[in-house]
Amino acid sequence: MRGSLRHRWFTPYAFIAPAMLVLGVFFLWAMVQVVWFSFTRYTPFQPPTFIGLANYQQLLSSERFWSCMLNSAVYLLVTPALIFLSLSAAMIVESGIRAGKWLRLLLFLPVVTPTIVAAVGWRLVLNPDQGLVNTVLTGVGLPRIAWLTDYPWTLISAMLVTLWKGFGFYMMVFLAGLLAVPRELREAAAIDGAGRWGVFRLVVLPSIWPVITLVFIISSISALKVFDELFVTVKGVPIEHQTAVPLIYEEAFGRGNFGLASAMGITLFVIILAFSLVNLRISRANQANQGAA
Amino acid sequence: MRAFDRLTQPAIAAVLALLATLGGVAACSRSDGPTQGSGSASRVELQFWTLALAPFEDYIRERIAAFEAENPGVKVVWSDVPYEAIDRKLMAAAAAGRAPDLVNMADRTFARFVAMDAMVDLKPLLPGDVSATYLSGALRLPSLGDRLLGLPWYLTTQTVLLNEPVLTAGGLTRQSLGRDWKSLQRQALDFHQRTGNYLFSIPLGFEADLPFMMLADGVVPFTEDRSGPQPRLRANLLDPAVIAFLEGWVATFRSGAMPAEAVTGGNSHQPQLYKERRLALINTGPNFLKQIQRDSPTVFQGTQVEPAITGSLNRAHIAVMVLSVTNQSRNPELAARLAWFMTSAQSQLLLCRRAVVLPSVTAALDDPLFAFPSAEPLSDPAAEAERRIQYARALSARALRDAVAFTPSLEAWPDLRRAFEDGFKRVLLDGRDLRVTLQDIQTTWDGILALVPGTMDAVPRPAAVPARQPPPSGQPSTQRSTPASTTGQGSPA
Repeated sequence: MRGSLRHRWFTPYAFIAPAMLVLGVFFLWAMVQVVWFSFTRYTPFQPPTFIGLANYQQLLSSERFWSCMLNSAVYLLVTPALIFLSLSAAMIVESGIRAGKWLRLLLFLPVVTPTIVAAVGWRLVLNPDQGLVNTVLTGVGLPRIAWLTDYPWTLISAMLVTLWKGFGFYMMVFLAGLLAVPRELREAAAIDGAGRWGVFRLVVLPSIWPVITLVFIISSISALKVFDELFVTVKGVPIEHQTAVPLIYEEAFGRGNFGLASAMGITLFVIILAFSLVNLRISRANQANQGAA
Repeated sequence: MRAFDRLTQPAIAAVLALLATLGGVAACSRSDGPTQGSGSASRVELQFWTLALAPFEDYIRERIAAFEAENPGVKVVWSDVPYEAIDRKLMAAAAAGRAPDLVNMADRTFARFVAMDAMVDLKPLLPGDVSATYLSGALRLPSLGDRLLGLPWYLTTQTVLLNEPVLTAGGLTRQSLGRDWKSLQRQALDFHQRTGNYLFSIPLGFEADLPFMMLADGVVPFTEDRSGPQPRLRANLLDPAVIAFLEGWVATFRSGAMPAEAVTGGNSHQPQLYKERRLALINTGPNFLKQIQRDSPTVFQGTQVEPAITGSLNRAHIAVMVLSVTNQSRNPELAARLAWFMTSAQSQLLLCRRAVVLPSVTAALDDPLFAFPSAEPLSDPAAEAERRIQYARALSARALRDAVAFTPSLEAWPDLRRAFEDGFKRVLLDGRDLRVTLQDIQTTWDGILALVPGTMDAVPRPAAVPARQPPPSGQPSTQRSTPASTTGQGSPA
C-alpha cells in the first residue's frame, strides 16, 4: 500500500495542493482580478465596465501620479542607508564585544514593534512644538523643522521610521552572512598581511555579496511599497508629497475609484519587477567579476 | 510512456490546481441568495452599521429589541464601526457585495457615497410625511433633487468650549476676547507669542471647514451660468469676497498663530490639543464636552461653554448624522422602516438623554431635556458638571432653530471639496500663491461640474437671521454674533 502510494505520480502534487490552493485564491486570482479591474471603470457600488486603456492613459498623464512616483524613487535612498547601518551593526555584534547579545536584542527590538506604534512614537519625537528633535535643534541654536508637515521633511520623517524599524532585521540577515564566512579565510588573509580593511574588502565583502544583493532587493521593494509609515507619521499632508502606495490607497478607498487604483497598482508592480530584475542582473555580474578576479 | 508522463503530469497538476482555485474562488464569492437568517426559513436578517456608537451599546441593543418586537421575523445584526474606518469598511463590503442594509454616516462620508450612487431613494419606502417630521435644516443634506437618500438622525451644532486658565495665561479674558473670527485672528499671534499655546484652531487642510464657513458667512464660491439652455453651476473662487475670506486664514496660519495640525490633523486635532491645554478655545460640537470631562477632568473644570462663533448669517452649521439604505440591500423596505424607527422622536430622545447630541425631529425638540438649566452654579461638583453639560445641550438646541447643514447637496461635492483641500494645503504648506492656486482649483471645479452638473438650488444660501439674545446662563457670557462656523465630527462618543 505504502509502496504504491509512493509511486503514484500525483503524490507530490497532492502534498503541495493546499498551498497551491491558498496561493491560487489569494494571490494568483487576486492578481488576475486586479489586471482586469485596471481596464474597467469600477466603483464599489457599481459593477466594473470595460473602458480599455483609459485608466492607464489617465495615470500616465497625471502629474500627481508622477510626483508620487518620484517620491517613491527618492524613498529608495533609505536602502543604502539601511545596508550601511545594518551591516555596521552586524559587524559590531559579530566582533565579539562584551554585551554583544544584549546589543543584538536591543537593536532587534524595533523590528518587533508594530509599525503603527513606531510611527506614533516618532510623531511625538518629531512634533514641531514639543518634540525631542526640535528641542535639541533649538537648543543648539538651529531653527525648528516642520517634520510632519513641510515637504521634503515629511518624506525624511517617514524614511527615519522605516530606517529605525527595519535595520534590526537586516542586521540579523547580515549577521548570519558574516558568521558563515570561514574563519580560516580571514586568518589566512591576516597572515598574508592584509589589515582589517583588507580582510573586509578582499574576504568578507565578496563572501557576503549575495546577502548584500538579497538585502538590497528586499529593502528596495519594501521602500517602493511603503505605506504604514507615511499613513501614520505624516497623515494629512498633500498626496503629492507622499509615495505611490498611499496614492493608490487614496484613489481606491478615498475616491472609490478601484479601476484607476488597480491600473496604478499594476504599473507599480511592473516598475518594481523591472527594478528587481535589473538589480539582480547587475549584482550577478558584479559577483561574477569578483569571482573571476 | 515515461516521456509522456513527464510532459502531462505537470499539465494535469496545473489544471487540477486551477480547478481547485476556481472552486475556492467560487466558494468565497458573493452569494446572490436571499438574506434569510440561518435559524428560521421566514426570518429576515438586516445588517445595521452605526458610527462610533459602541459606548451606547445598551441603547442600541434596547432599540433593536424594540424594533424586532414590532416586526416579528426580523433580526437586526448590529455592527459599530470606528469613525475613521467607515469609508474603507463600507467600500470593501460593497466591493464584496456585502454592504449593510442600513448604514449610519456623517455628512462627509454620506456625500462621498451619494456620488457613488450607493443609496436607495427612501421617499417611496417611508410610512410617514418626512417634511413634517424632520427639521428642514437637517433634511436638506440627504435631499438631492426629488430623491431622499437618507434620514437625518442625531445632530450637533457648535458651541465654544473655552479653557479659561489658558486664555488668562495668554493675557486675554472672556470680556476682551474677540467675538468673531476676524477679531480672533488679530489676537491670535500675540497670544501665541506670549505663551506658546494657540488661541484657536480649525481644520484648514484635511477635512477643511472653510467651504462651510464661507457659506455660513454668506460668501458663495459658486455662480450660475445661464448662457446655455439649462442653467449650469460653475466655480466662482476668484470672487473678491472668496479671496478676501481665504487670505485672512492664510495670513493667520503663515504667521505661526495656528498649529501645523490645522492643515493635516482634521477635526480630531482640536479636542486633542484642547485636552493638552495647547488651545484656548474650540468651536465644536458640545458632544466633545463629555469626552473632555472623561479624559481631562482638570481641563473640564476650567472649561466654560459659550455660544458658537457663527458666520455673518448668524446661522450655525449642523453636523448631520444620516441613516441610509444601501442599494445592495435585499430588504430596502424593512431597512427604511428601521431607519424610520431609529430616527423617531422616542428613539432620538432616548439617545439624547445619554449623549450631548440633538434630535432631528421637530417633535423631540420641545422636550424639557433641551431647556436651559438654573443659572446658579451648584456646589456639588458632579451636579455642577451635569449642569454645565445641560447648559451646552440647551445652547446647542437653541442654535438649532436657525442652523443649516451648509454641506452643498451636490453629487460632485466630495470631489470639489477634495480639490479645494489639496490645493489649499499646498498654499499653506508649500507657500504657493493663493490666487494662482484658486485659479487652478477653479479650473478643476469647472471640469468636475461639467461632468457631474449641479444647480444653485443645491448650494445652501439661507438669509441672515438676527443674532439671538444671550442665553440665561450661570456664566457672565458674551454673545457671539458674527462671522463663520466650524464643524464638529458629530459623533456623540
